[in-house]
Amino acid sequence: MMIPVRCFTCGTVIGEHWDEFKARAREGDEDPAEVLDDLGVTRACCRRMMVSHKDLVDVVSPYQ
Amino acid sequence: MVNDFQVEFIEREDRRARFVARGLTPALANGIRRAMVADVPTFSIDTVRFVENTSVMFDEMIGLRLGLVPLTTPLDDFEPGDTVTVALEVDGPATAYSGDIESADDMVVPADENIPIIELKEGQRLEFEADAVLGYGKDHAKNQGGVAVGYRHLQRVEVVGDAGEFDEQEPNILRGVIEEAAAEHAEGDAEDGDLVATETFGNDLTERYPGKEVEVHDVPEAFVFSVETDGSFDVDELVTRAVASLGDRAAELEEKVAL
Amino acid sequence: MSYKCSRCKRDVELDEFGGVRCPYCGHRVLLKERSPNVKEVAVE
Repeated sequence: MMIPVRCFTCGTVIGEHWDEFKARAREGDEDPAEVLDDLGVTRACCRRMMVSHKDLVDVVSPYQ
Repeated sequence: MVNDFQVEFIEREDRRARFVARGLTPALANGIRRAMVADVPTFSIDTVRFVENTSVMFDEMIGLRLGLVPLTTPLDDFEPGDTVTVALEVDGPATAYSGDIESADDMVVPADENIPIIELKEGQRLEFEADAVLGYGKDHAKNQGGVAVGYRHLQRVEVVGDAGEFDEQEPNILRGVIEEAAAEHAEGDAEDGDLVATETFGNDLTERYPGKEVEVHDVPEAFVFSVETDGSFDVDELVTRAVASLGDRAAELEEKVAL
Repeated sequence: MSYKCSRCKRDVELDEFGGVRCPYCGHRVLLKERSPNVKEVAVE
């Protein structure tokens, strides 16, 4: 629904980088791997949190 | 038994550090690691009083997200169990960020300001007041100040001979930190005793010692700690507090078992 | 008990005799509103 605040596996705060990752890699045309390196999200466990995430607020909000 | 420990930093930033500590037993190294995770308290939101929540998430889900937001923790000024009140009030359409959380105490504020709490649509509203409590990592993971804390042996790489002349050299992957023991065979400038992070040569020993056969040994009583904090305090604070808590426990044990 | 009609969005008071039906527009789908009280949630 919303990006998790922390990485499930190691507990690093990853929510902090979501907006920038979304703007640059999802909506922009940069390579996600390079954006993550740039943001300092280096471990595979934290990277999958960002890469595999889908915002669902827009999907559920009509059913309030 | 009194040992002197030697500590040498390889990497040192506010929130992450890597250092070599010498003169430790494996038990003591693990004790320090565990103390960093469990025995250094941090502030985290514990009880939330929702005045209004018309967002798409339930109160409990938002509460869980809030608990994970790291709060700055000046340990000199607070005792475990102390409470600080924080509050948030956001009207949609907008996204409520951790930076919107207002605190009653300027010393206890969100360490990261761009964590999205919940996206609010037109007409939705989130208002709450919450208590942040200084608690221990052993009671709840949200209170852990150390994140991805670990250690491994310091390793010593020795050149034992030449690789066969016509052998295809396969990558020899090693991760961590090595203590230079064959400087004359290493690529670039090196001196014996240098501490080298393996990332500098692509974690591949054949890159550093081309055409050589090497042996890797653990250096006894030397550990490479890699420590990160969630932002509650800096790494120095975390490590010194963890070591102090271990010292306090040892002193308590000594006192309790004294005849 | 206070509800809100899902069609005409008006507040509806129900008692045990009237059945589940909006007295203004006759719609049978009613929504229960969130209590105005402050709700305390423990983060666990």
